[in-house]
Amino acid sequence: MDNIIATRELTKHFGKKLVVDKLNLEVPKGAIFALLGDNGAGKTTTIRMLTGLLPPDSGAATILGQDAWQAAAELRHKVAYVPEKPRYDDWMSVAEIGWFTAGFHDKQFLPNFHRWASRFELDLQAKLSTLSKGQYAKIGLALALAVDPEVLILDEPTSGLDLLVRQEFLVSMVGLAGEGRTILISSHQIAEVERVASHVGFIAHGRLFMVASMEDLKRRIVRLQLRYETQPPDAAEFGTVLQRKGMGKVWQAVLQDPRADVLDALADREGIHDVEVSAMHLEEIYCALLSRKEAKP
Amino acid sequence: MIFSVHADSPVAIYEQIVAQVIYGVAAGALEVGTFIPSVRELAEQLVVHPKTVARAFQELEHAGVITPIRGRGMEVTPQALAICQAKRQELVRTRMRQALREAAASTLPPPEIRRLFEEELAALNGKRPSREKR
Repeated sequence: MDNIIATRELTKHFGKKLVVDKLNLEVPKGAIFALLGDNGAGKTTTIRMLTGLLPPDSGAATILGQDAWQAAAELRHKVAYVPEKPRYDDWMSVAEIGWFTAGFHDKQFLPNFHRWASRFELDLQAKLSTLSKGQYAKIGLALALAVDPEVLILDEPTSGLDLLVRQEFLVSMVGLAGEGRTILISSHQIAEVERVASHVGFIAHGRLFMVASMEDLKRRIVRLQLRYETQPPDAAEFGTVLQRKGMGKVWQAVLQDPRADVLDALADREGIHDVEVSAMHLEEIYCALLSRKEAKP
Repeated sequence: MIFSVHADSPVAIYEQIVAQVIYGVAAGALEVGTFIPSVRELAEQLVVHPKTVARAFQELEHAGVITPIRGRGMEVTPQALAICQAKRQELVRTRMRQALREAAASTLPPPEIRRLFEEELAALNGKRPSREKR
């Protein structure tokens, strides 16, 4: 089993509205996969199908080789899920919510929960209603991690968190991936996951329009800049053109799948100077891909 | 020696780690036998995916700068200093080439470029201690 999470033509409608459209993705072991897109792009619906909370209309999602919908109950002991805005019974204390949830899991759950709670510096006696947003989010994470999951699925885990808590949260994600756990995170804050993600999927209008490892993505989408004397070059010969800009005699293009041989030879071409190929930020890549997609549906 | 990486740099994160180790060794901040933190430790410290750190270590090991010590992690090799001093030149040359290209693109005359370079270098030597840090 190479991929811990895989979907095949995963599709969901709400009434007549197509919310997730033939989604295909694969997440290898130890990956931090970032599912990125604007609000309403279909991230949460995708996650709800992955976690067995919603059956797909067609296609399938498998986690650890099992069908996410058919084997949902079984997978709940191996796959942890933290929804975007978790709600617990707020009259309980931190210790009580751990004890209550332990009833659904094996003996290891409670000691694990206490370990994570202390690592997250949560006060066991505190009532949930008195916790800050950041502490509340950590409860969700502690409950999820107490299962000792092989797979962790988090829907917008950092929304509403303070900067410092976010940073701490990302550190713990890196630690978990280092232990060989597989993590899928959805987010609309693209820059934030740039450091930690190993794989990226961009989603818009229910369609995954790019999925790749971070390394491949940064190689496949690049910016080319050059200066010309009389005639700007024909961008199409360099690869698929996503964006093009010019000012004076400086010319710039964002290329998908650039042709290395053509670009290498470009520096020697008559009337072309200062050729520079550079990597782009995740946010810029997202915008370049999206603007092209919106222009040509 | 403290590492730091920037996600908003055009240089890939693993390359930043490689460069920092090379500069560290070349400047004498990382001596022979210095223990390098494990992939996981450094990943958490830098908040980057462990694979990114592993990739940097692989490159450094391949270059002969660090070597695994059984069950413990990595350490700086005896030949690292010589390798890193050579690599440092390469790295700095690349960065300088980029700056020079920018200067040339602005059509600043070469004597002007040379004068700016000398001025900046003199200013740097005046202020900073001889042991470099990045």
